[in-house]
Amino acid sequence: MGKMTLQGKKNLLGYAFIAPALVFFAGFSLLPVLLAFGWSFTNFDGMDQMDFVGLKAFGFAFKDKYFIETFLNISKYVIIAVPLSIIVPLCLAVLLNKEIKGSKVFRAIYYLPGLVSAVAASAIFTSLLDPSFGAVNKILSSLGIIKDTPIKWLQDNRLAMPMIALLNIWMGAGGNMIIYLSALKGLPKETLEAARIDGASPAQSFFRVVFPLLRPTTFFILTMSIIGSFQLYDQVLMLTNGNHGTATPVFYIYNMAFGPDGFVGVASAMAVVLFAVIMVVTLVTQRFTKETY
Amino acid sequence: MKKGIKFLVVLLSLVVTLSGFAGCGPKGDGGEILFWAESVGINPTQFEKYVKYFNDNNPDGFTLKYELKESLTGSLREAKTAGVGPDVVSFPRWETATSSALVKDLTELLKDGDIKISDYNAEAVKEFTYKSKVYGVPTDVDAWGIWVNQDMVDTYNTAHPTTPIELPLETWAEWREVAVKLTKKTGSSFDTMGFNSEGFRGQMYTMMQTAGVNYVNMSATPSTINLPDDETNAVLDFVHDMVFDAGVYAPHTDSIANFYQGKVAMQFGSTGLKQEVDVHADKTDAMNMTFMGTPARSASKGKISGIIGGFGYSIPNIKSVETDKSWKVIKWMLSDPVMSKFCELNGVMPAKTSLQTDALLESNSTFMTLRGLLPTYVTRPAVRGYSTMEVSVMFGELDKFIAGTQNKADTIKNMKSNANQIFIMAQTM
Repeated sequence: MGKMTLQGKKNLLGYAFIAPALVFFAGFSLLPVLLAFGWSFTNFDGMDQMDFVGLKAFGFAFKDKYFIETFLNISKYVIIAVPLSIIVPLCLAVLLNKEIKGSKVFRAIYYLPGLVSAVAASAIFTSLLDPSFGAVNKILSSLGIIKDTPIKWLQDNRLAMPMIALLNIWMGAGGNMIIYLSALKGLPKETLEAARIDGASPAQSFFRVVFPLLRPTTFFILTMSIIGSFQLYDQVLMLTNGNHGTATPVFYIYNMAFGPDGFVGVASAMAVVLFAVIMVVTLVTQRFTKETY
Repeated sequence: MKKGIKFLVVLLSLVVTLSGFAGCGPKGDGGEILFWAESVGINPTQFEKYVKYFNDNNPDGFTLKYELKESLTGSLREAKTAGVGPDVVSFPRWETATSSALVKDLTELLKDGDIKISDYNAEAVKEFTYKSKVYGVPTDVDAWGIWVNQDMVDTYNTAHPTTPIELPLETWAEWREVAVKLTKKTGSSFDTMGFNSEGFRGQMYTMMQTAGVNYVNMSATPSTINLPDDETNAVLDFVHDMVFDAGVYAPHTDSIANFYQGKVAMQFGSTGLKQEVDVHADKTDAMNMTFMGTPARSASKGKISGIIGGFGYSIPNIKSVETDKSWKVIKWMLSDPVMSKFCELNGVMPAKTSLQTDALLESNSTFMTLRGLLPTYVTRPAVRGYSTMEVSVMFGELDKFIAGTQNKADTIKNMKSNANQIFIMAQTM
């Protein structure tokens, strides 16, 4: 046996450090993905039945009108939630980037909703938005904005998805704000100073200098928001149970796989389709962002 | 002195050790029986009494331990994967067609003659039978219909002695008329909702039955949806009328809570709803409730009808489960005195016909009504895909129709094409 080189020893140590993470990744991420991919070519029912059926499960997935509809539902969500999950945190970060008294307290306050579990936050929203007994309708009613008919925030097809988006923006704004704040802190001071000396107004300085410099951060948040949108599940389950035009692809796939009929094979095919859609959307976004900036 | 202390210490250790062992072991000689049931409709306080009865009386010294599951079949799937699970389950019969692989086929065991399956309600046994195999023995029978707040009816009748409300309601027209009479509004807000059923979700089958049609054609392979124009139009017109023209209810109201809080006059539900309301009796004034079957389309068309359901004892199809032991326990639990006790404590009607005695029925008006309904009531279709079809197709299409975002013709068209697609997927994959 040859003697191990210093580089070899370093490599071995490196592998040893990443081994626990690799084991978890392989067991809890890679393996389920591979299993789902394999099951998508079977009629697996989650129990005993598992025969190879070729592309039949994909055929059923594409013929399923309700599955296709979930992509339309999520596109409504994306249109509302994704821009706001960039704009709101950016505004908060710019405001809190100034060294003013109490800014750290506000930073903590804005971050707090992100620490609340989605289930608890959804339960609070459900209670607030209840048409008959919720605080929101009562306040609007006392202000004379609502006359007779209460607003069905979560039971109206036009309002239900925006309400889910609102909840997620409230929950996620703090986290994205922290990312923007750290990016703002890292901006080159000399560039900002040069803009100021050249006579740029605060608005010009922001739109012409700061925002372009935040491009990588914005792209990161944009990509993560889009991916997160396609994975929306728990808030939908809690707020509307997938009713009123709010069923998302993940919600539908879960119900197909774990509902009474156990269509695990078809659900796996749907999951593969969703994976492909997310990949394409991310690539397109990446391309578009690179071309724009 | 030292010897005395040593002796006392040893004696004390021995006592502590032996007491410890005594505490760890099973209470009876027969060991522990793990029993799973669905939490829906079970009052844990009442069920604890049954557990005590079981532990005090079973001749083999078994100790009953029970766990309530939100979804029994969901939990059984996990248990089957793990290879470890309960000895006996209270299985939701309507899931037999889709989940028969989760429980053992009892057909051979039933041949020992101790349990005669013909002694049980025929529809309940049919619900437990899939592809000529029997997967459980029914324990109880429930039915879906309309619960009426009798106090509201009595108050109305006192105020209107010349035009009183007479129950039970027999036609949709009577149903509508009484719902209008019992509805109270301030502006367009409800003070009392005349009727509620969460947008008729899950009641399409019942409504089609009352219109005279069984809406799943089970003899076809794969099964097909049966939505004839006349009957389906009538059902959708009635649903629309109740919401918009009669204005007796708003869909998607938290129905059960509103019913037991006295905000809803008539509530669609199963006979088991009484137990659920009773659980909340300490929070509300005691309510007098009357159960009736879902009215027929008219005196000449359709019939009073609906769905019957219930549970039954099954043996999980899991490696660790000892079939002989489970079957022995089930046989004892199905013996007449034990079954009567179970039904008495849980407030359910026994599925064994000989236990549906006159004395029992006279003691409970709901049971009396239920027995009268059984000849025209049916079980849910025992075909793969039915549940998914109901949830994915019927719920969504009815929602769109009631919300006014889809017209009647498109609703029926979508119901037909999408339901059939689900059946094809479920039965040809």
